[in-house]
Amino acid sequence: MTEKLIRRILVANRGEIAVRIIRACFDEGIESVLACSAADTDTLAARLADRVVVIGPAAATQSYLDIPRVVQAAISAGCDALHPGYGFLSERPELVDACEKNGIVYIGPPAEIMRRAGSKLGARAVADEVGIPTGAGSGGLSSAEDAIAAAQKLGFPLLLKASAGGGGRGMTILRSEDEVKAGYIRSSVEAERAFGDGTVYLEPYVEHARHVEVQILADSHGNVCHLGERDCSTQRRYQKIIEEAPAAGLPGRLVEEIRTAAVNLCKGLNYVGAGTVEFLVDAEKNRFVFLEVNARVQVEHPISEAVTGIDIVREQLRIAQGLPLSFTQDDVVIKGHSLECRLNAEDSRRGFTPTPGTITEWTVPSGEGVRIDTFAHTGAVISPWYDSLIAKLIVHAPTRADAIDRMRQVLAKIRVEGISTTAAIHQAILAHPDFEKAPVTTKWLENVFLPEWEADDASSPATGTAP
Amino acid sequence: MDVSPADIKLILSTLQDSEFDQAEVVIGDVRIAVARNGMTLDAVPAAETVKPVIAASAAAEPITAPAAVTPTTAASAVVAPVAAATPSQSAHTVESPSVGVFWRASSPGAAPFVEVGQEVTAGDTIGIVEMMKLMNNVAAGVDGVVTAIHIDNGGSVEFGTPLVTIEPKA
Repeated sequence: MTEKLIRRILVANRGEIAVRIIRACFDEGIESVLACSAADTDTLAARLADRVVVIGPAAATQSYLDIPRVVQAAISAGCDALHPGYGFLSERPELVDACEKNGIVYIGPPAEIMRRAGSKLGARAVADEVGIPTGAGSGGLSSAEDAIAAAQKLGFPLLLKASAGGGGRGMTILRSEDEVKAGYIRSSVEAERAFGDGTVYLEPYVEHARHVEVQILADSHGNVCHLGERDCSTQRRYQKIIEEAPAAGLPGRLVEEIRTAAVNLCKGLNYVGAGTVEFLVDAEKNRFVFLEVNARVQVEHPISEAVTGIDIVREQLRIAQGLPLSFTQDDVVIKGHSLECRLNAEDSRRGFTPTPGTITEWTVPSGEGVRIDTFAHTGAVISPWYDSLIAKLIVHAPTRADAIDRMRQVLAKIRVEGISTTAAIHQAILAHPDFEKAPVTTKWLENVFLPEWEADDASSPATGTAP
Repeated sequence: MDVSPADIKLILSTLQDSEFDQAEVVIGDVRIAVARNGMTLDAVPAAETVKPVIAASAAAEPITAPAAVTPTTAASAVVAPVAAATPSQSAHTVESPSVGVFWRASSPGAAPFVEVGQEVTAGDTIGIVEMMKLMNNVAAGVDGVVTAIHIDNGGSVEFGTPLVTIEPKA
């Protein structure tokens, strides 16, 4: 692959990631042009960019999600490359095609690889080929005997699901072989009655799962390196709230297997660019299954940067220019522990409803091992048009306990006025003995933490009821 | 402070109904001098360079001769070309619906959709904003007269860039 010098990048995103990309452009001596909506012309990213092109109205469908407008902005501003950030158009192969057609370097994987990686079936097929467990189910079962045979092959616990079901209906957990026959008969009859289709199938059931993902950087010279893994199990409704790197408390052999699986999968996909391979890890059985590949930079990339010292966005710019990675796998040494708290403009006491508005006071601490990725400042407007992430609080310390301590300090010092933020819930999570002890599982926040927290809230005098 | 043709109209009709035979009104860099019933206008201070703010409708106001609205820079031109006129409050600015390239004609060599001074109806196309080979016709939006064209043919525009200004029909 030939090298192509990038001089000017169109940043096709907003918020903190736009600021992050502009910073990488600055570091690399590349000009940045921000393509933004009419609602974002006075944001920090717009102030920091070398140039701003207003591409459309506030509605994302007519601005940040509109491929012709974004590509036209790159052409109009004379950009030779485009960085999509995360979200919005970052996993749309049509954008990659449009860039290519117009001679603009897309900072991300080629369209064909994105299509394969982005389709769950495509990536799963490659995972199967390279021998990575995919948690594939049994397929439709035709009899109780069929179900028993499939169950023996898959191992317990298992989930018996109706093909036509959805939203948790018609699901039965099977813990031993004795339960299979009765379960099969009951479920298929129920499914027939409820959905008009009695087909049921088996799937491995992970009771205590951790979301573990591996950061990958791959260049166009065939080098595929991992930057270790992240644990993103602290989730609410599949939205990550706190992430950490590395994934603590897993056996070293398992971690090594997961990292190798991610590298092998990306090699199998001929992957180029920054990417993340997500896995579900069974915390009790120390098994893992492949979930999906995210063909872009992730929100939580800074924690991997913290523990490896490698700047992922700058490496993206190198890869896009046809240069080899600036490091080899042997150079990647995971040092210390990093945590990231996503500070959202949300009222966590009112069902996490977004709280757009103007920030009248924004004070965040700085110090060793503290990094705040944000577009917020005093006077910044949090627009109701876009998602509620306002800042990523990132700490890095020698150990997990030290990192938690440092994050507590950051949260204690943060002062935001004018809007509600999720700072208080982060403080409560970090103070919880379960979280302190070890990384939690994916259902912990919703099943354990939130009920306790809400109960506390109800009995707390702060709510206005006299004790 | 901007003085719109509507403001001038209001000043003139107020003076019309008043008992003054001679008057001079100065608002910012706009000077309006009128005279009637045999009175004459004072000489225009030569040193002042003032933007002409002219509106055909204001000049057409029936005022007893020899009343005149005097553009201070060009005493002879009562109705000056309006391309550089300060837009009036009623003026309608047609903005670009997206980032793109502004085309004034349907194809190279074809006559422009509109010229300054041309009357348009709301549905008329005033130009095209091209975005990745997608041609978006931009409509006038109001019935009126084109008073300014802000972007040259083939110029780059963004969302919200003023393309043309139209003085709506009263």
